[in-house]
Amino acid sequence: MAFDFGTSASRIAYARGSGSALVTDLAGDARIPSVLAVSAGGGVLAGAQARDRQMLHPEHTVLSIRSLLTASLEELGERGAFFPHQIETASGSMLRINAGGRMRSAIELVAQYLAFLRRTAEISLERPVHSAVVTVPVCFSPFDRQVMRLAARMAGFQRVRLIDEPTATALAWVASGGRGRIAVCCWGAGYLSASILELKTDLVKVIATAGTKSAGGDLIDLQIARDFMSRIRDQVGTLQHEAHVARHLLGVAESAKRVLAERGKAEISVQLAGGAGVVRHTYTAEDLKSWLAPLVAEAEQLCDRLLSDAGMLKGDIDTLVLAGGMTRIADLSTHLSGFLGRSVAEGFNAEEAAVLGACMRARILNRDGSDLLVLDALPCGLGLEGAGGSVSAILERGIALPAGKRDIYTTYLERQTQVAVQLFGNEGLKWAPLARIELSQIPPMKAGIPALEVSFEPDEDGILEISANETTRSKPLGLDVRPARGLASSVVEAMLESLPAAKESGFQEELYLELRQRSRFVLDTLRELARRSVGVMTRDERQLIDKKSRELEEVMEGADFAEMRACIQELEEAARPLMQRDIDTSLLSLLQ
Amino acid sequence: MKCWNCQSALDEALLCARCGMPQPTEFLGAFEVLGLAPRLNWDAAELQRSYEQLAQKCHPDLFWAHMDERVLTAARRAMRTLNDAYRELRDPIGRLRYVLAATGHSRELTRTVPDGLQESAQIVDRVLRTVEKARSSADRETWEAHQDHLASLQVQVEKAQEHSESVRAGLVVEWDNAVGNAPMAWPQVSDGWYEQAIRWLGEREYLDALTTRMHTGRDWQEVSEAGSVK
Ligand SMILES: [Zn+2]
Repeated sequence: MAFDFGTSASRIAYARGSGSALVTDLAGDARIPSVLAVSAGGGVLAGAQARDRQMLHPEHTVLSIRSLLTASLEELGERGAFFPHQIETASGSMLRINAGGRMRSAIELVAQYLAFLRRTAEISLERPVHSAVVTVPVCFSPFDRQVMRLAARMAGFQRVRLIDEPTATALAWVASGGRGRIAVCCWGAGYLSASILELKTDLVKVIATAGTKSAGGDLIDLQIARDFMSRIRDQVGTLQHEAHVARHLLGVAESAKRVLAERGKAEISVQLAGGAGVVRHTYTAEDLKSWLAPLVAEAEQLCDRLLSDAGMLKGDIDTLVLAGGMTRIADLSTHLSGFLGRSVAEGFNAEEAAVLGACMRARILNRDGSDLLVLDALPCGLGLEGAGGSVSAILERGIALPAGKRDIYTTYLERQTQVAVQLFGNEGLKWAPLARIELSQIPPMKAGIPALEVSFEPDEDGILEISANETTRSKPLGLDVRPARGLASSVVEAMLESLPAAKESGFQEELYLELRQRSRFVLDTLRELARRSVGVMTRDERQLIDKKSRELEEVMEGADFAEMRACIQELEEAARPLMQRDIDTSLLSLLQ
Repeated sequence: MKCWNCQSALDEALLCARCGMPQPTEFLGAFEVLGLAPRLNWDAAELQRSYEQLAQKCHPDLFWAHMDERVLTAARRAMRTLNDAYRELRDPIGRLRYVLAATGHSRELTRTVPDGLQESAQIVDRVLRTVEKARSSADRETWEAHQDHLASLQVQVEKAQEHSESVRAGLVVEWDNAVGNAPMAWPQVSDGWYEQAIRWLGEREYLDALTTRMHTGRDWQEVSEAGSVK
């Protein structure tokens, strides 16, 4: 199975016949929002259902779930009401976020979302899903990738293979007959990832690759929403229920961004409750341009770096392939085309490219009708701090994976038993600290005698395997890796050990359990919504929702799988107008 | 050595000839890994073909479906070795550097000023220092005043580069002739060859460093901060 785990939405695909098919959620939608809701009781709901209920409890509903893996405490803290969750960092590395009344680490939330995707696939196909190809943005460091793989293992996948978004998109391009040297830019809500690849009939080779987290489309939504929020404040003074208003505005801003890009003008208007009037503002193409400017500058740098890493000049590539929501903004695709010196390839389904490409990798791995070989490249160069604090490269960015390098260290004190090594990475031009590596259990010897051999071996997923030995006595050393962002090696080991063993039986029961849990979540939240909206519900509406709820309650305890799915879907449809209106009315009543 | 999988005797190769399993061959030399004679003159396309053909046989993705961690690990190690070997040999200077390292001559390497530049080396360095200082203090006037001089010096450096290339060509011919008809064995060459090759590589490093400095010196833009890499 292939999972395109995106910042704003995800897609699932599987091999069917000689092609690929998309998995749809209970509402029949292939685009599954990357939203996770955790109820106070610990119940979890994700996807469209979580998104549709976010106005009930914004503080329990986390958006853009993937970007939690690379966000810093400062970045999220600065968002104020636009990120209404309490946050902290545990032991200086992994973020912890309050959802459903309890602090949960980012990896736990990501794992819960991935488990939701896995269950969605299982419900749709009615068979167990144990292995996954999962997409990642290029700027995920070796340690981010390790967290991602571990999260997928926690989500119940026994075997996991990662794929960079541009590589996946390129595979979809190959499937549609593409050959030659291509550049692929995937520009979405969270990240910009780009690669130059060489495509042959039996081989796809990544020549250069670059990524950034400082150019995501979410940043534009945030700008618009912030701007409008301050206009509301100007008119009404202090706001109650800021988180609700902020969440509503984020959604409005997202559509305003699209309208702006298409028509050069977008009006946002919000009616205030209690006769306080209307807040209205029209944004122009100039506004959008000024918000996009820093992102465009970031993209230009990235494209320059990509070309220079590939040893190419503008126009040396044969084709430019674009994917991701941001590339639908005409201005941005024109810019990218200018930076890389090639016009954009037409007639390509950019929305589904990454998941279809990931599905092709799944086929390749299963030797299922494809003998294409994909050679990935190391997305971030690795270096070690030497004497005097200067960093020297050990593995250069862009080299083919898997790769490896050994380095020898020694002690500088008598009978020294511990040595620390600082590992650096470069995604752009500068070295940034990646991890601190502590070697221990060094046999006590004279200073300078021990030969401490440390191996740095990125595997085919770009995840770094580190091992250490004292070679004069061929003794393994104690090793503790503490990444600047990610999980310490000891924590990873402990988490791997505590993974539940794969269950061979009871699949059907588990699926019923999952469907029942989702049904209960749907029913509970609708009940809460109905209580709140007594005044705005029509009689027909209430009767319909009531009827559909009781139908679901009846089939829930039964064993008819298809019936249960159909009932959830019908109830959701019946309640959708109300949920939509609830967003509006809650805003009106809250804005006092 | 024996194949870890079927126990049959191994030739010096990445893959077992009998069962096709990739081998963790970390002790093989780069030429042996690629199955090529230790020649210095190779067509880039030919090297690439050997690399890609082997990659098609030992990449871990090809063994994913075996569901066996041992096979995956062996494939990963074999592919690592292959990637390393190709990286070392893919460009002509890398090959020369590899040959020197593999014969125990790499430690003697030092940057050396080529004969043709002996007289002007100090001038070049002085002008470059002035220009570099002007750039870092954003003193455009001084920078511009030295550009003509720098351009004329660049011509000298380019001449030295050309000469260096012809020396390399001679070294390559002598080595490859010695490889001759015993294609898989390492050749016997005179100590003089090694001395000349080491000196050549030292000169080359000096020239490369100088060329980089000249390019930066002739380019007027913000000075990158300390610690940056390129
Ligand atoms: Zn064998």
